[in-house]
Amino acid sequence: MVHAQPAWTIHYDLDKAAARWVDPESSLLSFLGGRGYGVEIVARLGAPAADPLDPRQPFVLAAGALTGTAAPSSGRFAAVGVSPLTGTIFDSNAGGRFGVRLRQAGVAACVVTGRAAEWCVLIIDGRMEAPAGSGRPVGGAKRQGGEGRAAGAEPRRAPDAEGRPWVSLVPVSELLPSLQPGEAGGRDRVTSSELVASLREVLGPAYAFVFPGLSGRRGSLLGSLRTDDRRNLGRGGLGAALSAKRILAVAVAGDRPLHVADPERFSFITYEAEKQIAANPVTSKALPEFGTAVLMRLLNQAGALPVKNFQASCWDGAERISGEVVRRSLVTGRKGCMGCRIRCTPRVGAGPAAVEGPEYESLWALGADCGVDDLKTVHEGNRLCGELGLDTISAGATIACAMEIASKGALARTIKFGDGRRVLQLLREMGHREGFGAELADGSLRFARGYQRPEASIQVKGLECPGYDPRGMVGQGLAYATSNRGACHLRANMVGPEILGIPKMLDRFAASGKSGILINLQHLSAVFDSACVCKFAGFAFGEEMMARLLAASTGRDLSAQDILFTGERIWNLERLWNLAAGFTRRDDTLPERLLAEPPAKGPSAGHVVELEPMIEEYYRARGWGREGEPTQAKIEALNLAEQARRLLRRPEEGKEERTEGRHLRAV
Amino acid sequence: MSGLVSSHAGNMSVRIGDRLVITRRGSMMGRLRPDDLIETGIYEDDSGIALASSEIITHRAVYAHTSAQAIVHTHPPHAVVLSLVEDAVIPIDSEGSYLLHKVPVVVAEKTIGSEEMAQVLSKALQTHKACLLRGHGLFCTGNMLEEAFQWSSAVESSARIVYLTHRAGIVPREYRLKSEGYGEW
Repeated sequence: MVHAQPAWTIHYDLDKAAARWVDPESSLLSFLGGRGYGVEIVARLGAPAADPLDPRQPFVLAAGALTGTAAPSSGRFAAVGVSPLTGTIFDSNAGGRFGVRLRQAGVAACVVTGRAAEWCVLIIDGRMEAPAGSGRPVGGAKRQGGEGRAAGAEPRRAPDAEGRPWVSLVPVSELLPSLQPGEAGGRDRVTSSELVASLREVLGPAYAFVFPGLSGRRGSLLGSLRTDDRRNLGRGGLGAALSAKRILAVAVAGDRPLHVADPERFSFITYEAEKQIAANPVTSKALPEFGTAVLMRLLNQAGALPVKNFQASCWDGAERISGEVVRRSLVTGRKGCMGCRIRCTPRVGAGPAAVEGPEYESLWALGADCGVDDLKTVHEGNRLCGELGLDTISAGATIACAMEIASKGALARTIKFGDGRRVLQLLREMGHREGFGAELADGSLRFARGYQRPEASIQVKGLECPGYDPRGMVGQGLAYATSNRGACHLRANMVGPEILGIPKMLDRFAASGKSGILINLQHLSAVFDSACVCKFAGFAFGEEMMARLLAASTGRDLSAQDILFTGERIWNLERLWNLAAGFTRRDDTLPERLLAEPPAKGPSAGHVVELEPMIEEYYRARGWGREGEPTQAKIEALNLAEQARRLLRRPEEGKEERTEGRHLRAV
Repeated sequence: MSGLVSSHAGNMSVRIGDRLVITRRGSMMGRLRPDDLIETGIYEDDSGIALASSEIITHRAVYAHTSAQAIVHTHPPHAVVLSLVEDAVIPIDSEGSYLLHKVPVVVAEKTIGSEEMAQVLSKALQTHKACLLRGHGLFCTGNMLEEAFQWSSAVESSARIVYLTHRAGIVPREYRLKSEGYGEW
């Protein structure tokens, strides 16, 4: 088995308020948990031709094969569903303690389908010890119960004889009656920290929880998910996806010890992996000292820093929000996710009032991309995004898009690059979906098309590009164009070989010959996201070490090539979903600006991305056809024939019709 | 490639999509010219096969069965000596321990340009980035050529330290915790 001890998959049907528990072994064997297992579930149960917010679409929270073990940086989990922003299959990944508690509750994954009759909290309790004293008894007669329990009866809270954790769906009106909509502190007004405080008071400290932020609860497509310990699952509007199911939070408590199959071997390999992290200057120095903000100066020096909605690729203001300045004038300490030695998260302030400081992507999106070089303003914007449940990348990029449209006279509003106060005001409006911010809260593509300026939306497949300008690192352009969830640096980040020299430095302006390393990174990234190990550990070690960790923890004979094969299966299954959802080769592209408008100055002056030859090479290297579809031979080699038949069935064979380019082209 | 091959020995290649570029048969690693780089298919022959290195069968097998993007093949003398007596080279120096962990030795009866060696090497390189063919030489993979070259150089460096230690009759004092794990796992 992949988990070295029993781990249940809980399927909760919100329409029937009924739970069932499934042994996940067969799927976990193939997909390693986390993202891979979630993708397998969504592809099996979901409806690619239906609206992303259709109640039939599953939403998955999954721990990985290494979550909660002693493997470095492994305290993570994945959320997987269908993005209302992009229409693609989508996953997001975060640290904190939620994933560890999930596994300690004996749970591999929790799948919800349908839509609850009213707003609810889904509670999972897998503790073996009696939870006395850990909070008030939960719920009463109105609770929407799980399978095998008469409605209205007080449920057990301990696992049953088979170890199945207790599951209950509790209406918010009962659990948190103070959060009635429309009131000052109501469900549709309450911020992240206020919601966490309310849930903690009711549930007690043993529970970890994940919840959609305010923005998502108010239906904004940039709405993110957040954990009780302030880790964000930012991208793709998964906060809106969970909100559409009327889930205010998923809470989990667990106390079961975690075991690995071969403890002695696992201990040695973990020791080796930690030595690699300690010996690597990125993981032992740069990230612990500066966090990801260390990239601000490096990217600016390379001419790969997108500035003012990608109208430039380097900027004098970058120094004022660089990692060095962040460390010197803002950060008071560092913290790490559960079980992580890298400890890259910046802390600002002291004691209970301390908050997380901005990471690179937030510094870029709310700073460089909006032309704002005041660090305190950027920090406040980052804090607001966390409190309001907004993806900092897409929020900042959408404001930058509006700034550009306004600068060209196509928007009768005063929104200027560099106006930090206006950025903060717009973030508040976006979070509450009020005023002009309501127009921005669904992302740049919808906004720019609404003003007949689609070229001002810098996105791929509807997802705003993050803070790496492909004109200064063209392999990143191929990574954006081919990413299954839209423009993203986390599907595969070419900052390693193109900027940091990991494993070795490539010519960042060269187009030929990069598809192979990108594909390997895409597969390895899927492995990290599925085993639920932080990608930052990937700066120190790769597929060999991951295979050894997974082999020792699961007891299976796994090679580096075996786990990359799993990564390839995950990537191709995501691709099959997207094809079924109407995406085609023409969606594997970049914004026209990156293809045809070279930066006027700086190290990347005169460069654009010559994408088409790279795409051709990429498809060939993948064994795909000219339209970017996995060939039948590839599908069979990856043992995905059953999934392909289900996803790509012809309309007349299915119950519903596929519509080409359905989600985004309808925008 | 100094110290890793004789004047006209060794070869290397990179993968580009479903094609590969490999050094010409009999070319000098130290003085490669543009026409020493031969492009041909990974899965299908074309006229380039007439010029390609005699080890192309192994390069193709490795590309077909692994995610390697580059391959470097050399004949490093200390590593080859150890391959004659050991089933694996286990570095005892610090850098080798970090970078390589363990380098397996595989065996084939026909050790040049054979299907047999292609099979055993491509299998071993699914779990290790460097592998020795007994009595012949070293094959290393990487995401790029420079990376594969680094492993080649590192293997010979570590092998030389192991060889010198054995040759001098030295019993090294262990400085690593859990040192038995390097050989076992």
